[in-house]
Amino acid sequence: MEERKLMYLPDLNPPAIVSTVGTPAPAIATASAISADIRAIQSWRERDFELATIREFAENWDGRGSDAPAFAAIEAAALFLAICKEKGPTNPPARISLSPSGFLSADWLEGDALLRAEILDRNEIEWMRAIPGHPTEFFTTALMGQTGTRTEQVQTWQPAPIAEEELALPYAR
Amino acid sequence: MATRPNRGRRARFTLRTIIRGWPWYYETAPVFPNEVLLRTVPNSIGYYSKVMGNWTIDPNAFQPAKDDDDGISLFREDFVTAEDLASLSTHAKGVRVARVLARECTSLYLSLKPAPDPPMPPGHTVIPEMIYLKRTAQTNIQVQNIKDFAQKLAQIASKNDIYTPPGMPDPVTRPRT
Repeated sequence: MEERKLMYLPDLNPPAIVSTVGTPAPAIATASAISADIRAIQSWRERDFELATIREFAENWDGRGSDAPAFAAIEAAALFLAICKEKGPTNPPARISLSPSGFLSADWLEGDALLRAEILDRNEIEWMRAIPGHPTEFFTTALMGQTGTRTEQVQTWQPAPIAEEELALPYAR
Repeated sequence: MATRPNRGRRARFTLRTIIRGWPWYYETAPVFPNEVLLRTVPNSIGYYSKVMGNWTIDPNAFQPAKDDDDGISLFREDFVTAEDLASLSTHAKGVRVARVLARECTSLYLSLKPAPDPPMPPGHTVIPEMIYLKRTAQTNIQVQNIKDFAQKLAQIASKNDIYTPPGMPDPVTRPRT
């Protein structure tokens, strides 16, 4: 009984001393910002490396007889990516790829939307913004005079919405 | 003397093809709405990326190549398996095989035209609306339409399983992080 009482003696269970930081939120925000920056840096490195690999593609790189990418097209793509990196260092493209026509595409996901830039030649980029169930938009910007604003809308096209309720095809047979 | 028209190769022997009238089911037969069509996806940079949401398969995988003057090629699963199609590819680093349903293609107002071609794997089919066009001021709108079809087909295919041959290498050696 005596022991039990002792257990509740206040001096045996002193209140914890907690040292508080005035505002912890900025520290957490800084840490996550650094983490995001590191991810962005890694992504940019990967895109740079992928571009260097694409630059070396030979004829029939896709097994469908496509030409090797033209030097001018790859140079334009490199310039475009450099501009993107300068203007939006924390927003690298999620993917780059070469089209059968020999032009480089850079993709960003914006929520449900796909934003694709196809670098057509030294001074033209065709943008495509696709959202499931909505008309796809196309617009072009100039590469050298890039201001980040996309002005010229060329076409809106949607033959039919994709049937969202379609069942996926599993490989189990 | 009249010759018999070439009906192409016969369908694979499966329950599905028996129901469709095997052994009178040849690759010249019109495509059924519930047929599965296969499309090879080159194992190239960006063509398959799991971080790309509704577009894990790159729309470029459905873009016509310069030889596609009659439309992009698909293959009917009733005539060739994804495994066989992947093994027949000449791509240096191999191909994956994506799948779409015929009626998903026709819901986009695309036609499916059987085009048997002996040097090709069996079940060769083309989409005549998606031919290769060199981009000019006159063809710009058509090229954009084809790009839109390609991204829609990529969305459809991305919902389905994709066949990846075992041991497929990474198309690019990643830098150390």
